[in-house]
Amino acid sequence: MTVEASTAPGEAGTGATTTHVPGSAGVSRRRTHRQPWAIALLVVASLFTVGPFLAVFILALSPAGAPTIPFQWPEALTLDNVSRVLGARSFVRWTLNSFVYSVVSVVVILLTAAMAGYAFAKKRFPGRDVLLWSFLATLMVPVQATIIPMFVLVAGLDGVDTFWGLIVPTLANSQAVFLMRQFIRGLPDELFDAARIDGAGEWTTFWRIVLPLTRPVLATLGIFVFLWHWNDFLWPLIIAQSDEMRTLTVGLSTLSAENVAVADLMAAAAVSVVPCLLVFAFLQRYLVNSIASTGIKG
Amino acid sequence: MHKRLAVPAAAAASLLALTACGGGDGAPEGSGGGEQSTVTVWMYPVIPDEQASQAYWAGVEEDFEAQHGEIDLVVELQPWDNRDEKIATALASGRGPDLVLLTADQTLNYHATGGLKPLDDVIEPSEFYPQTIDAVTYDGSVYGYPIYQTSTTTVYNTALFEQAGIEELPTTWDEVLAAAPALAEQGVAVMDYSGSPNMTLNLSFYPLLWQAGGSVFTEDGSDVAFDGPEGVAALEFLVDLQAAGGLPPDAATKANAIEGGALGTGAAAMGYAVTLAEVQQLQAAVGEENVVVGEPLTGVEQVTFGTPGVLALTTINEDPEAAAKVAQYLGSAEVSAGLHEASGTYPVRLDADTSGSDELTTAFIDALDYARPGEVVPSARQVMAALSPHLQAALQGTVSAQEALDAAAAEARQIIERAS
Amino acid sequence: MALTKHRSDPPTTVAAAPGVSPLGRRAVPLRARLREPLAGLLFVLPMLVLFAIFRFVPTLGAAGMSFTDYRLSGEFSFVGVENYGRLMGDPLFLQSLRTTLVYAAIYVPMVFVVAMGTALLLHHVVWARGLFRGALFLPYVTSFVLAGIIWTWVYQTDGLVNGLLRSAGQDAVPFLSGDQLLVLSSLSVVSAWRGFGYSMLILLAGLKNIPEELTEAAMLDGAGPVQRFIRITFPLLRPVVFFVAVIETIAAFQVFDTIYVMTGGGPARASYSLVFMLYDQGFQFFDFGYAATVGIALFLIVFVISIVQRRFLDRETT
Repeated sequence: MTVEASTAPGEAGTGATTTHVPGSAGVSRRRTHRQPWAIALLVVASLFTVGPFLAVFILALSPAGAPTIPFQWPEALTLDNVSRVLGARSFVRWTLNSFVYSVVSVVVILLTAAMAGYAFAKKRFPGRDVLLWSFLATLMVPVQATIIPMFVLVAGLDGVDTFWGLIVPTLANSQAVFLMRQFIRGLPDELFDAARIDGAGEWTTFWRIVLPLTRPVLATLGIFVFLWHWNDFLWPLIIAQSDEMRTLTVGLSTLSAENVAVADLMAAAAVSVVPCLLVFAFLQRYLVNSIASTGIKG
Repeated sequence: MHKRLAVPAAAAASLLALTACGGGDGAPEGSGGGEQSTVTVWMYPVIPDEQASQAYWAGVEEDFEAQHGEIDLVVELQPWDNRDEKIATALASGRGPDLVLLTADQTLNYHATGGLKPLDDVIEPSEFYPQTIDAVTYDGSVYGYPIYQTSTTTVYNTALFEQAGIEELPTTWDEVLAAAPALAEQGVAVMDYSGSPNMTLNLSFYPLLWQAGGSVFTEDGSDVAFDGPEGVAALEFLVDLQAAGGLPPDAATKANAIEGGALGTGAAAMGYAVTLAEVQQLQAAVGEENVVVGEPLTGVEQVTFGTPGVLALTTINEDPEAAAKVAQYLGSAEVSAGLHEASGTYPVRLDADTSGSDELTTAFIDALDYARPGEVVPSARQVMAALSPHLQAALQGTVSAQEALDAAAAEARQIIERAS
Repeated sequence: MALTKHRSDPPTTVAAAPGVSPLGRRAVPLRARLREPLAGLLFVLPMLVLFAIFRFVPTLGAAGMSFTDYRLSGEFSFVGVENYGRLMGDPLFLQSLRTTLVYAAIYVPMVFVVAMGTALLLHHVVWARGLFRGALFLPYVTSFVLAGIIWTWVYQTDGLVNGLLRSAGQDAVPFLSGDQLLVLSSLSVVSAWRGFGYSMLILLAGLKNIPEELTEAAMLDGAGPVQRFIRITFPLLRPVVFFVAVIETIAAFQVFDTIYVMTGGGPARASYSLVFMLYDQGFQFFDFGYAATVGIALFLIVFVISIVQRRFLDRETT
C-alpha cells in the first residue's frame, strides 16, 4: 500500500504538466523580471552539487604530493594517478565485481520481475492477491533489519565470499515486481487474447508480446537496478571476505580508511564514478521523468 | 502445452540451482587438478608499500610452488582495516583462509572462540625465542607459527626540538610535559597521538597504560583493570598534554598515518609507539638527518608494544599437511629473512643472524626487551572496541579521565560476562 | 512519458476484463481451464522462490533470532525476551536512538528545505531548466560511499573548507571531530547533498500539478510570492510534502554508509546511529541475537512511520 500511495503524487504531477504548459509559459513571461535572481540561486546550488565532482577530477589529475588546498591549481595535470590506480590488481578486480554484481542483477531482476508482474497483472491463479500483498509487505521491512539473519542464512548455504551469495539475495525486489505489474496491467487484454487465439503459448506470449511492450519500463527499471547495485554498500561489505570479492564501494571505503594519498584516493573515486556519470549523461531525462511518474525510489 | 509452460519453470529451476550450488568455487584461481590442494593465506600489509608487498608475496608463491608442485599456494593480501570483522566472519562462515597472520592477542581471541587448530606437530618450539612461543601457547598447545617479530619505540624529529630551543630530547612523561609549551609556541605538538576508533589501542593508549604501571586486564583475565589509578594517570597525562598544546588538534579522531599525518608534516615532534617501517617513512618525509630513534618512553615503567606475527591454522582448513608445509616454508630462516628485509621486521628464530643489522634495526631489536605483545586475554579485541570511544570522549573534554574509564569498564565487564 | 500514458489506462482495462473471460469458461475442458492458473504460478515462481528464501525467511529469522543468544559459532539457546530487556536498559541503545533522532531532526528539515527551494526555483525558471535540473540531480546517481569520501576531504583539517578558512585567517572547524551537533550536522549535509535530488523531483512534479489559475488569481489579488506560497502552493502540495517527509525520515533512520566511511560512529560515539549499532553488535561483537533485536527495533520504528504516512494519506484523499 505504501507504494501505491507513494506513486500517487508523482503520477498526478506529470499528467498535469502537459495540460498546463501554455498557461505556465504565459506566466513566466510576466515573471521574467524575477528570473535573474532565481537563475543566480540555481547557479549557486548547481555549483554545490557539481563542484565536488570537479574537485575529485582535479585532485585525481594532480601530480602526487601537489598541494591539495583549494584554489592552488596544480601546475600540470597528469594521468599518473589514474594509471597507477588502474594498474593495481585489486582495483580492476573490484570494478569487475561491481559490474558483475550490477549487470547480472539487472538481467535477472528484469526477467523475473517482468514474469511475476505479468502473472500478477494478467493471470488468475489461487493465492495471487495474498502473494502480491506479501511481496509488497516486505517493503515495510528495512533491509538492515534483516541483514543479520540474511548473513547467517547465506553463511549456512556456504555463500559467504561467493558471487552467488553476493547477488542472489538481492534479487528479491518488490519495487520491481510492483512496477512491472502496474505497467502490464495497463496493457489492453485484447493483445493477449489475440495471441492466444493465434495459438501462441504462454511463454511465446510473454516473450513476443509482454517483453517488447514493456521495453520503456524495463529500461527505467534497468537503470535503477544498475544504480542500486553499483552503489550498494552494506551487503557487499558483509558478504565479501577476500579482496577478490570486494565491490568498488567496499574497496573505496577500505582505501579511504587506509590513509592512501589523496591523489590516489581521488583517482580511484573518479574512475568509480564514471559509469554513474555515463548513465547520468545519456539517460538523465529518462531517469528524471520516471522518478516523477512512478515514484520509484533509489 | 507442457512444453511451453516448461520454460518459466526452467527459469525457476535454474535460479534454484544457482542458489543451491553456485557457491562451488570460492577461491577464483584455486581450482586445479584432482591431487592438488589449495592453501590460502591471509597476509596483511606487513610490507607497507603496496607494490613491493605484491611483488614479494607473488615471488613467495612462485618459489613455494616450484618446490611443492602438489600444493597451490594463494597469498591473499588483506587490508588492516576491519581485520577482526573479516577473520571472525570467515571463521563463522567456514569460508576463508587456511592460515591467517595474527598477533598474539588475536591468536588467543580466536582460540577462545574455537576458530583455531593447534600446531604442535608442525612446529619445533626450541628453534624460536621462548617468549615468542609463550605468547601463543595456551592450554599446553602452540597456536601460532611465528614468522616475524616487530616492536615499537620512540622517534624524534630533532629539527623541531632545536627550533623550539630544547636541547635534551624528552625520554620520560615529565620531560614530555615540560617540553610541550615551548613547542606549542611554534605551533608544534610535542607528541603524536592517534585516537581513531579504527586504530588498535596497542599502538596508542595501551603502551601509555603499561608505562603508568597498569594493565588492561587483571592477571587472570577475569576482569578489566584499566579503570585503576594507573589508567587514570595515563589518560590524564594525555589530557594534560592536550591542554598544554602538546597533542595534534585532531588527536582524538585522527588515524596514525605518517605520510601526510602530524609527524610527516612536522606538526608533531615525537612519536612513542612507532614501528621501523614508520620511521623509514618519516625519514623520507622530513629528512633522514632530522630523525633520531630513542629507547621506549618511560612513565613509571619503561614499556612499549611489540608482538610476534604468527600464522595460525584455522578450522576452515581441510588439509593440515599442506598447510603445515606452507607454514614451515614461510617460517623458514631463508624466507623469513627476506621478509625482514622487505618489511622492517626482525627474526624470531634463534638461528637467525642479526649481527649485520644496521643501527636503526638494532635500536628496534633492543626495544624488544621492553616490548609487551598486547594483552593476551579472550575478548581483548572487543574490550578494545568498547574502550576506544570513551578515550575519545575524555580527550574531547566532555568527561573526566576517571568518568571515561569507569564508563568503559562497565561496558567491558558486560562483554566479559557475556563471553564467559 | 509513455509510462504515464499507460498508467492512466487501468480503469478501462479493468472494466473490460471481466466481460471477456467468464464467457467461454464453463465449456472448456479441465486441462485448458488449468492453463491460466498454472501459467500464472509458474511465471511467479522464480520471484516467489527468491522472496521465500531471501525475504520471508530472514524476516521471520530476525524475529526468531531476537529471542536467542545466537553467537558467531552458530550455537544458540532460547533466552525469551532477555534481549529486549537488555535493549531497553542498554545505555548504548538509548544513546544510539537519541543520536538517530537528533540526526533525523537535523537531516529531514535540511533536505526538505533544499529540495523545496530548488524545486521552486526550477518551477519558476524556464531558461536552461533541463540543465539546472540535471546539475542538481547529479549527486543522486553516485553512492553514499563516494559522497563520504569526497566530503571527508572537504571537511578535513587540510581540506577544502578549512583551507579556505585558514586563508581567511580563521581557525579550522572540526567538522567530523567536534561535538555531536556539529558532527551530525556535517553528516546530514553529506546525506542531503547526495539525496535531495529525489525529493526535489517529487516536489517539482507536485508543483506542476497545481493549477496556475489559482496562483495567478492570488497574484491579481495582490498577494506577494511568500503569501502565495503559504496560502496556495503549500496547502495544495501537502500530500507530496508529507510523502517526502516520510521517505526522508525513514532514510534518516537507516543512515549507515556515510557514517561508516566518515566517522566510524565517532568521535566518542557521537554518530553511533541505530544501524551502526546493529552493524557493530553483529560484526564487531558478533552478538547476532542482540543485533537482530536492534533490527527489530529499527523495523518497528520504520513501521510506525509508514503507518502514520498511510493514515495521513488516506485522510487527505478521502
